Amino acid sequence: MVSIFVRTLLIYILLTIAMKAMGKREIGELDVSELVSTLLISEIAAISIDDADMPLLNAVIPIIFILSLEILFSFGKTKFNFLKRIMESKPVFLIKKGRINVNELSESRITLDELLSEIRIQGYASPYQIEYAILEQSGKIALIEKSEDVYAHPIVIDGILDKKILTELSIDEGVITKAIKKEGKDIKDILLLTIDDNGNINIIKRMEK
Amino acid sequence: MKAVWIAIGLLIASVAIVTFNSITLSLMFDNMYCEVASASDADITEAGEKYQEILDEYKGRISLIALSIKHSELSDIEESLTELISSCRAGNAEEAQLIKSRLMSELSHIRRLVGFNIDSIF
Repeated sequence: MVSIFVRTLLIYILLTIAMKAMGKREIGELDVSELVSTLLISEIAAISIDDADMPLLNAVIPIIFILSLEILFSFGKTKFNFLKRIMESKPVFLIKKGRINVNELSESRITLDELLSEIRIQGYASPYQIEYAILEQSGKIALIEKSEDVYAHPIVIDGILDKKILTELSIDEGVITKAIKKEGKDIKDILLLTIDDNGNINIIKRMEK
Repeated sequence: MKAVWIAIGLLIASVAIVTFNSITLSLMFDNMYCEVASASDADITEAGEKYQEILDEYKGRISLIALSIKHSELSDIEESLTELISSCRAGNAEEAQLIKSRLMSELSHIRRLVGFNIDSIF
């Protein structure tokens, strides 16, 4: 019994350190790799506490390994766009400019009832009040009501041009390139570039080191 | 950035520990398997003494081995060795042969598990 007590304590300390190292996001906001890591680590911890026959190193090494991979992977996503594209989903417009996008609803496996329910939950009487409904990476639906403020579409994020959005908005890439050149910068120097529905371009440049 | 360096350090450390552990245990159990296999079946008294030496060496290293091998599997090996020694001392050659086969099977199983091979993965 003493060994179970000690094992539990050691695993508890290790898990606390691991979860702290992985970051502060809530369960609902974890991305795919973080969710997988959390599930795996908790499963390994539970088995090692429960099975006294299993050497503790057989739990400690995998937990440390998964934690290291998770931290390196998270860092890699900030540096390599292909990793980010693989692991993170892009926000999806369920309602765009006041029109419900049935194709996107279907691809996201969200029913119209669920969308209407979410609209009501967030305090809106009808979908006609909504200009944009965006299914975010976290799985939550963000609602932007119709107003004089216009939605700014992110076109360049962290130096990377999103060609898909350009195609959706029927905007020529040359327009973006011209706007960036006007600032005397290269696309890699741009932290954020947005275009709103009125065609206004706003640029936030990276801070110079 | 500090977290990244720590993660790299932990990754290298865990790979190094696993590799070192795997190589050490692999060599140890290979050696043990060969020693058990080479024990003379003709001279049962001499074999008994040899198994006793193997058991003493095994017990001396068991706390290190137990870090990464299941306790039940280690107990099985120790039990088999003890029974083998008893059979040899009792002069029961037939029983000793049976237990020896069982012991070699257990050692072979652990050799597969600790080594770098497909068996240890699946």
